[in-house]
Amino acid sequence: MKKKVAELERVTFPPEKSEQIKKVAEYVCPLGHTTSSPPERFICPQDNLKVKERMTLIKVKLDRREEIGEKISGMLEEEFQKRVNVAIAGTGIVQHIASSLESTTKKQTFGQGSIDLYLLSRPMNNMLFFTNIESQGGQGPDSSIANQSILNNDTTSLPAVTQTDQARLREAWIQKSFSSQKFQFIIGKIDLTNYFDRNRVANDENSQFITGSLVNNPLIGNPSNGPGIIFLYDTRRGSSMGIGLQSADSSGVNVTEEPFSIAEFSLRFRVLEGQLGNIHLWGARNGRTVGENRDDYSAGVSLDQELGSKLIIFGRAGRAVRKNPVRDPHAWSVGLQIRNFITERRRDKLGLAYSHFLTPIGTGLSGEAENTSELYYSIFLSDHLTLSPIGQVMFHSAGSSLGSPQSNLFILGLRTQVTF
Amino acid sequence: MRKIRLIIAGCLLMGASSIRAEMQPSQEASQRLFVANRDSNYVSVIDLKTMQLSKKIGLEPLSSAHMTMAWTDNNGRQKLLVSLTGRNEVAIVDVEKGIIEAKLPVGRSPEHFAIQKSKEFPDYVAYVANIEDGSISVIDLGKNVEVKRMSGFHEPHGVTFNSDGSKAYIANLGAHRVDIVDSAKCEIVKQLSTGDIDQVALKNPQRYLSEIKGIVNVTLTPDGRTAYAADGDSNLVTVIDTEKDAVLKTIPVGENPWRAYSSPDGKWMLVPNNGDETVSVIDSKKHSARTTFPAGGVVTGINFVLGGKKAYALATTANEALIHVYDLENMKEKGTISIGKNLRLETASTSVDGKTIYVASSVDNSIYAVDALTDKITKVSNVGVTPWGTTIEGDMASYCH
Repeated sequence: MKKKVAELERVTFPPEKSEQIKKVAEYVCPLGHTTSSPPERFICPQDNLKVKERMTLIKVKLDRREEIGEKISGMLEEEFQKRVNVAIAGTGIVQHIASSLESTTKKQTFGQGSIDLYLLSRPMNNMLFFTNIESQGGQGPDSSIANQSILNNDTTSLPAVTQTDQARLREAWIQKSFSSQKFQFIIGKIDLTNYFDRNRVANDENSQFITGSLVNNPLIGNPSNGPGIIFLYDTRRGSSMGIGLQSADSSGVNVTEEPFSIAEFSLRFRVLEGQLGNIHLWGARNGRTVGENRDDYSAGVSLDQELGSKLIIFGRAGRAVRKNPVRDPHAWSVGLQIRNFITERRRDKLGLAYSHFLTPIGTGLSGEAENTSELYYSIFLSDHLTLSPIGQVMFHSAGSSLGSPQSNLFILGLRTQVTF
Repeated sequence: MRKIRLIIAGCLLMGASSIRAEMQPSQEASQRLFVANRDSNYVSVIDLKTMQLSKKIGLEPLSSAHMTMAWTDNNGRQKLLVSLTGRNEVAIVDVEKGIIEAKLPVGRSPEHFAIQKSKEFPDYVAYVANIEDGSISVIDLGKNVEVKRMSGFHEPHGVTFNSDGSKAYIANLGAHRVDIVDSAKCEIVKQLSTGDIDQVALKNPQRYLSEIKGIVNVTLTPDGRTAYAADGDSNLVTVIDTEKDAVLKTIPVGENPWRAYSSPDGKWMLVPNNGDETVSVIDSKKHSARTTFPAGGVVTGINFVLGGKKAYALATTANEALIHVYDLENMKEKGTISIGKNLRLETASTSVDGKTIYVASSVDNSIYAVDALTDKITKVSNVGVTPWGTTIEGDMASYCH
């Protein structure tokens, strides 16, 4: 009966067709093979050569009802995009000073946690409105160990280390894109390190290294999140550039007068058998009108490079030029991340890095240099839960206005991250 | 049957086996011209000895037959496959009995197809390109059933089997892509891009976003080692290495190339460029353009005669149907043959001996036979209304448009 009905439909009511020409991406190998989705690591399975992404045109024929369905889907998608999307991430970190030459800090344990609420909406085409509200509680070892590298970078969004529990608006900005997203303009309360001095494997204290000098270059000298503007241009051919301006004292007063400014040029490239690499070259000027850092300049580089399918190495280096220096500081760090370190654990990650910071000699800084290393192993438990045992060694801390330098600190930690 | 075996053995010995060669018919079979008439309810059979309409094989009303292809089955019976575009069906005809043996529903608007014998289908298989719904119907011609309908194509136009039938090259007219189908799996296993159309489209986005002129057909060289695919929008011919199924080279040709036609001696590929009204001659050994002949009008087919020494290009201008004649021995244009005013030429078949071509003229419902030695024309009138696709069993270069 079903067959009869289908036959009748076929003969008597053939679906009306409409044609559409669509622009779609294709991934073309040097020998002409093409796919509609990129092959793994952008390498052609046929010849192990790198694919090229380009657009092509295809004609699709839709039943009228399919076309209407597609339009409805499009409208629903549009409607969905207009809605506010919400994401929540929670991070809990416990750190224990397992070994220290100083009796005052030995065996201390610190607990710190944060919850981030992300709100995302699209008020119009090519426009994004983003808000991040963060609530934090507890303290990290930086409250006891005077250092420059920051042993728990998740606490840095607190205005003062000693202040414990609080909630605040970390970021709130609007992003507008132009010319197929080649140009982006962002304005609002921003975090400049989201756009400058990026690194694929050392740029997020919640899922990668927790040590501050391995999250960003300590010499950028950017103020904490505040009002600012960013212009980004991506050529879509592997290079991009950006300029960011931010209120130097994060206050929002005199935003355009003597702001903190940073510019960056980035290159995305592939080497050997198509392994992806990124290099970011940046230069910054601190235009703060008052205070000790006025007219400081700094420049640096951040790079990461895939080597094979599991290993990514990275490095950072930077130097600052200060107006009234006793010594211009410099910093560098190197490290690696290995995915799938244990064969059966495909989504686990292992990270190992070392950072060196030659400090400026100034108030509270009597140490010559600060050297820190970190090892973490991120255990993927589910799409929503990750657990990371962390070991940190600070071979020598430089001290700070909070205290004197210390040597040979060994800190064990456990980080739990929950995302929804 | 013995003859077929003999031919297979011969092909294997030559190292250039072609199942199409295996389909060499008996002398009697090759003396029939089959004509699909788009607006008649029958397929015409013309006796090439007498040049008379000898038989009408009846079809249902509004069949709008597009293409036919003849073969002799393993029992020695001559069969005919006809695509019935108007009814979304194909008909399998027993020629001697003059009856439709089976009628199979396929996808929407079946037009072109290819027939081949393969390991999986020893009694022949047909891949029918359903141009409107982007599918290929796989018809087991031994059992007269559609065994699979493959989707994922964009206006599939031409189907070309390789010599052992292990794979088929599908030309997508609605994309700039050749799809390669594994005959055993009946699925697309590779796709080849035939031009960076996004860059081409920058010249005139409106033009390229309103219509796509992709690949009409993939044409194999007689040795089967390379295949040529002309991309109408890219103005390129892509040469495919059929062993690796990789792009060997791209050759720039004229504007809006239609498709490549291979000379039977394997020396030349002729590509009519309907944009600038020329014909590109490509050296099939060197894979490079040799020369360009002037044409004129829209060329809808090229037929080689006298073993590839001469070629006829069927052209239709605004007010005349004509045939351009090319001397391939001396690489010269030899003039044109006027068929008539306000006519339109569609396709043609070459006799198995390579001495005559039979041209379908759709406006005056006629077939014109052109003698390759003398260029003399003989007309067969009233073959059916709107004759379109023609075929002679054993014509290895049979085509449609």
